[in-house]
Amino acid sequence: MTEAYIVAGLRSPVGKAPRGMFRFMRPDDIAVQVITQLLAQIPQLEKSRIEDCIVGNAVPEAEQGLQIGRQIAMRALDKSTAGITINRYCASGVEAIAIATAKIRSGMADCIIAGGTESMSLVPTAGWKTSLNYEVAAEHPEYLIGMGLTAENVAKEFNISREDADAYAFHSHRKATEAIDKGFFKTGIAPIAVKEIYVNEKNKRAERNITVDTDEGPRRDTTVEALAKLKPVFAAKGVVTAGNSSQTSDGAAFVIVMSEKMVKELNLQPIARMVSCASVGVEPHIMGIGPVAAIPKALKQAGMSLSAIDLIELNEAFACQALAVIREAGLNPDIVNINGGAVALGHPLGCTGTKLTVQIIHDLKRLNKKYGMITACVGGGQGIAGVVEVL
Amino acid sequence: MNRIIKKIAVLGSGVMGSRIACHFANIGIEVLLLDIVPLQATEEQLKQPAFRNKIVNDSLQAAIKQNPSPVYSQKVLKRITTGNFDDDMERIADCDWVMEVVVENLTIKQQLFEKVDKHRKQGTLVTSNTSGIPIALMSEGRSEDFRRHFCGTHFFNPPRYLRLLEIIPGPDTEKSVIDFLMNYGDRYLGKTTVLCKDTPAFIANRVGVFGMMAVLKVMEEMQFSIAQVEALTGPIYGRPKSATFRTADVVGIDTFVKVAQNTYAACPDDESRDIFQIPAYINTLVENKWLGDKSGQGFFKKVKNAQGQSEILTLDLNTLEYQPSTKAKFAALDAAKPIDNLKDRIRTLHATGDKASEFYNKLNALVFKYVSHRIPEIADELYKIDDAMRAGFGWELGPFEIWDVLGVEKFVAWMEQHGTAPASWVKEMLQKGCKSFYLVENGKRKYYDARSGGYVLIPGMDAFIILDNYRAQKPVWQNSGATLHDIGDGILNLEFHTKMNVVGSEILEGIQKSIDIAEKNYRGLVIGNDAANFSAGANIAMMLMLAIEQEFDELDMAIRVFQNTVARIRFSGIPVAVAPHGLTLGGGCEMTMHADVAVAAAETYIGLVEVGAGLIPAGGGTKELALRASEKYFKGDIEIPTLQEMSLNIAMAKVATSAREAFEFGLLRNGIDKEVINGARLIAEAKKQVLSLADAGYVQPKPKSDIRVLGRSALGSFYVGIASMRMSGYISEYDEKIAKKVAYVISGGDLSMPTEVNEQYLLDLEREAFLSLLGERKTLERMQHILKTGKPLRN
Repeated sequence: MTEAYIVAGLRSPVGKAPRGMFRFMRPDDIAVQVITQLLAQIPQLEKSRIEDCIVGNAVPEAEQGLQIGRQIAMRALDKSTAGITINRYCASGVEAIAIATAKIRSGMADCIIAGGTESMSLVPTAGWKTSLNYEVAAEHPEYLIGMGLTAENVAKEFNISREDADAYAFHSHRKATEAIDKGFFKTGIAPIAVKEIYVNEKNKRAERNITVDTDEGPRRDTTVEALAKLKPVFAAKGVVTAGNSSQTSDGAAFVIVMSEKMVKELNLQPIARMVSCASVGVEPHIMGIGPVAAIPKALKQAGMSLSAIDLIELNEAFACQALAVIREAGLNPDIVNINGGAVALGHPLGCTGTKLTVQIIHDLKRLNKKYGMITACVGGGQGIAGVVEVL
Repeated sequence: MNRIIKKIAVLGSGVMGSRIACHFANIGIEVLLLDIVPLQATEEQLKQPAFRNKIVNDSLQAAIKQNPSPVYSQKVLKRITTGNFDDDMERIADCDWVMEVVVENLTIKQQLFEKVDKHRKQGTLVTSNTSGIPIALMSEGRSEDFRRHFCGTHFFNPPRYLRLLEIIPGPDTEKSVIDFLMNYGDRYLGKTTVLCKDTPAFIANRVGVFGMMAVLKVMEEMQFSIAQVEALTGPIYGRPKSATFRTADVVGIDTFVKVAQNTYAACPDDESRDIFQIPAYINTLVENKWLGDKSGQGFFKKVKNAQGQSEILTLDLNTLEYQPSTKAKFAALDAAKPIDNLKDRIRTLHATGDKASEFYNKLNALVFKYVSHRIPEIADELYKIDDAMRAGFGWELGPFEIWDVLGVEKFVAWMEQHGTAPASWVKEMLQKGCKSFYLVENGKRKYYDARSGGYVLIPGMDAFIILDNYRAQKPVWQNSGATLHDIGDGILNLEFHTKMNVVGSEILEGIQKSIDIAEKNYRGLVIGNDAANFSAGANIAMMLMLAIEQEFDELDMAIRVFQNTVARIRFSGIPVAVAPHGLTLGGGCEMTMHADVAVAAAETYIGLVEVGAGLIPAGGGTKELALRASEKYFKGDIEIPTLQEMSLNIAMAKVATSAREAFEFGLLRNGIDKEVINGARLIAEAKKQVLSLADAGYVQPKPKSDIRVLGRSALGSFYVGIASMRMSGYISEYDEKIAKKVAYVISGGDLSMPTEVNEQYLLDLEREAFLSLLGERKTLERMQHILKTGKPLRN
């Protein structure tokens, strides 16, 4: 078996949906810009040598339709590069790297670009036409309920209070703004050029160009008191508010995965490798608890114990869900989301897994640590966990 | 010359100004709303545009939050722009009408008009909204063009809902301006416009406040309590629920005192002037700052009792202490209560011979004397006083109309026996053999004109159809719940007259019969009435009884009859207009939805509220919304959201707060149904619509057989949505059950694929769902609760 290495990784800044800086940016356009800058880091890699482009996306229709993976491959890479769209909802971005790694390890490819892209501004989470299976709806509506409601179920079953969820959300924002101020994200971000064509105050067509290089989500002015004032949005007496949920977002992130042979040929220094990755199913009505089942499985595959993990990126779908996972899986809160999570930084569904992988690789490097874990809960009742090693 | 209003400037954004602005926006006019820059401000603040408009923006926001809302729909608000007197006065040059609604202070008004005179363009209408400042004083010193186009108006609060608009010309107001305002107020703003003279407090407040003071005088004389007076001067006598003292608490006792004092001061020659003197105990209330609702206590006080429930205490006028309310007992009230017809009730109240009758006689002796002496001082024509009291104070009958009910001659005799008398013209009228103030000839109402000494047609009434004026004429057909009138030009009108116009077998028979008769001998039919509400819906008492007795065959038959009757409104050989207004719920809404044309008053509160009673609409309502959704689908449409919007009308028992909102909800049809701003013109306008359909060549429509229903392709999503609502605790388990029935019927059942079905298929689904719910204990509990309390039960 040959080893598969991550040789480069970048992400776009994350925009707020649906009214943020990427509100009209197509997810394929953001992806093309990220991949182009990623390739610029490895000038010796010819585009035609990249065999496949695996793109995670959670709602592959409308602007994300027509097999966006191939659309991106053609434009950012080469006509000869294949492209595929994969969907494991919020785990898609981790899964893309896992598939690329597995293919290369098994000798099916030497070089794959893997990642994800999502515009929650342009495509609604449940798609434009939500047509649910009548039989399931009649028998098991809990298979199909909204994520907010599953978070309420998690809060109830694992006794997470509103106060704890709000305090968690507050810290997520605080950590994220601190990380931005200290420039921790800079090395991992590919600035995105945004060209807007609009009707100006004189009622005429006009253009403006800006470059976006910073995450839009974190709020410096938020306080525990302000968060406490928000009303529950998913249940009459619930704990989940707009303030302690992940933000809806737009963004893209990609890594280059390469075989040992090709790394040597191109004389590259790999930055990391995905050691293991596991997906599991859990009860759909408490999908948020998914990581609790996925984490031990991924560790077992890697032959590691939790104590060997230096940093964890736990996707904060909901503050109450993240808290339940931290408590139930026995995670050390000090190493979880050291730069804040999706409550502050946003959660562009199909992009998120890769974005977190890029972040944790840069953090591990900066802190001179070795092992990191990326984990997320997944709609429909799943969990994913992946272990990465920085080289 | 036509005067076309596109834009109005409203100067002053207080309680009246902001709500008047909203009402102009309601009817489609662009509004520029201005007020002062805040007086207390730092230099820094004065540089910020947002701060400079703070007063106007805050007032407008406060107005919008009012319930009931001053706007027909949130969408109208984009017609209002705001600004301030310092920066934006020149913008009034674009306006066709400038309305001043600032504080009631002559100097301030005059200063503002000086600015208006400078910026307005020639010919622009300028009006002042005032409740008492003489109009003549306001335009002093203004340009000639200003004075010719200047007039007083008096809106009542809240201006969207209160029907009266007094128009008070100044000394130089052009006739064309007066005519314009009288017509515009009526047709465009939906008001009863009353042309007033520039006399103190104009008409409504002059007579209305006298009426309240007269109540105080008689109650003092007879040693009645507040509770007794409230019982006698409320709905039993055709007055608002807030009767006398509750009204004073709402308006503010100080306001009421101020109008009385101003009138006393301004009317030294009033023969009944002393009545306006404020009794000592009311002065004490004002000194104590017990001013009514705004200060938390007045004639009433809301407190929490030992059990923590709120209780309303009533002031004892002798001790000035608040006491638990007692129920008033009078033989006259007991005798009158069962009588539905107001005129009969009033006669009974006066004739019983107990203390209550004595109170009414004494009170009316004062009021009748007063109003008769106000002719010609405040109005040359007596109908104006009645119009003003009906529209401004919510009296169902004005003073002269009540006098007619009691018999003019008879009551004058009573007055004379008790040492008082009306103005001399009343006696002259009787001597001429004219025995009433009003009479109806050929459906047209005439009033006694004191100047000419004879009956004169009430001007402008040709354009109105008032069913009361057809009472003398033999109805075309009648039963205990409905009457069919011939309203001329080959058009019939079916009037409902059950309690709250609830739809039972009499009304259903009425509809069937009217259409049969119209098909034989007439050109068309209007289903409309002049009651406060078009219809509160189907008679659920009867259905509850049958359901308890488990008479399901009979229920099935009853629903079929209901469905067939509603369908007949659409599928008949003549055009039928339905004219909803006020509450139009359940079955009333279903009738409206099946009209060839629905002609709705702007103030129509319409909805399919059956879910509240544990049922679903089964008189064609659910079918009709499925049909309307189907008509909206287009090639490539994803369809489900459209159907969902329609189904929410039923599932959430939504009631539109205006006809405008009913169009947004899809209960009224854009391009087919009509909105009439002035509800008093409703039947006349509906008749025109029917005539126009008949003239254009009306052909009976065919029932639809191409209604696209979505079956399980939509039903799955609906079921999950409904289950989520239950899991989230927003709806009960039983709500879920009913909502799923709604989803099932409106999706055309659980069909494998979207399918074209006919109306009968959907009507059958409706009826089956309705019947199955009638077999559920919780539905019966809901029905019982509504009948008992009038409110829905969420079990």
